[in-house]
Amino acid sequence: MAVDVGAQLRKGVVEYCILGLLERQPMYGWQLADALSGPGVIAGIGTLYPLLGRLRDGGLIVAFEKPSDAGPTRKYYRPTPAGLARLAAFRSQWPTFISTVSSLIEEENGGTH
Amino acid sequence: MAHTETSPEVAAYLRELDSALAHVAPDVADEIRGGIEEELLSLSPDDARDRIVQLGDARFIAAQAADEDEPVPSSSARRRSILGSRIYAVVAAVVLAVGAFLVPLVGWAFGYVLASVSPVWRRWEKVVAVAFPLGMTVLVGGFFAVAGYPGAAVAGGNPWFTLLPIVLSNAAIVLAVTNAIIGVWLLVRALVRARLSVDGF
Repeated sequence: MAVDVGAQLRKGVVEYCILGLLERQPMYGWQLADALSGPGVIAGIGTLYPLLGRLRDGGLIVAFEKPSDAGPTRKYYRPTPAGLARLAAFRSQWPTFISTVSSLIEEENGGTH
Repeated sequence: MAHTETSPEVAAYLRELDSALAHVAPDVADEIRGGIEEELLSLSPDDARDRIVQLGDARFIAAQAADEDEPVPSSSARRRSILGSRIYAVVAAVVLAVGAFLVPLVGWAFGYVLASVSPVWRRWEKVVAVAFPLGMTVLVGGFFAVAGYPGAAVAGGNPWFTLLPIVLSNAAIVLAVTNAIIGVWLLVRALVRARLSVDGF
């Protein structure tokens, strides 16, 4: 069975990507879907809402409604203090993790095995 | 400028989406539906048409959601699992259907609370479950009040003393009967959804 390495990697980081985006500013569903599906972090809007549900169940984000200039009231999401703490913990470990994994999977000099 | 009018294309796409999301967990389905609806209604009809093309096949969106919505072993997920179980749905629908016959008003309210906290049903189904019986009760109660008032007034005394028992008893009957209908409707929808879903709900 073929293993989609990209999908496995994305699964591990996608929730932190959402927290990272929401830390900058509260965003609504379409904005998040657009920002995450562009670089291929999620497949599409159908993938987004189960992730948001899990983050909300875990107390890492909250939703709130905000009137919009064009159209109906929008549901926005923002991180909770627990969500920001989780993001900070991830951020502190991420560079070390990348460096460790890179050193482990690095090809030998000259490309010999 | 607000574009809150629903164009035929948007309405058709939302219908497709509702149908495609039938086998997705109702709380996730509600979120997806709400998010897409608010986006489409914020656009002009032309832009909404383009966005529908960008969103793509509603069945694909539903498939993405079903793939992503894996159970997680958190306490809230466990609670959701109990409230979303088939047996809970059956009990809630039956209490809603017969509760008003057993304990007038209180039985109905208890059944409605049981159903409203369950993720088995979509938000609009819960709104219909409370609005339909109450609406019908007010209509029938109002009808008996208006139709009976002239006769009661002619009889002398305070007409409401004569009318109130008639209005209340008819309203109670209508509330009980419409709740029975709604309870059966919710039960059927829950069981159909369970049959379509891989894991029971």
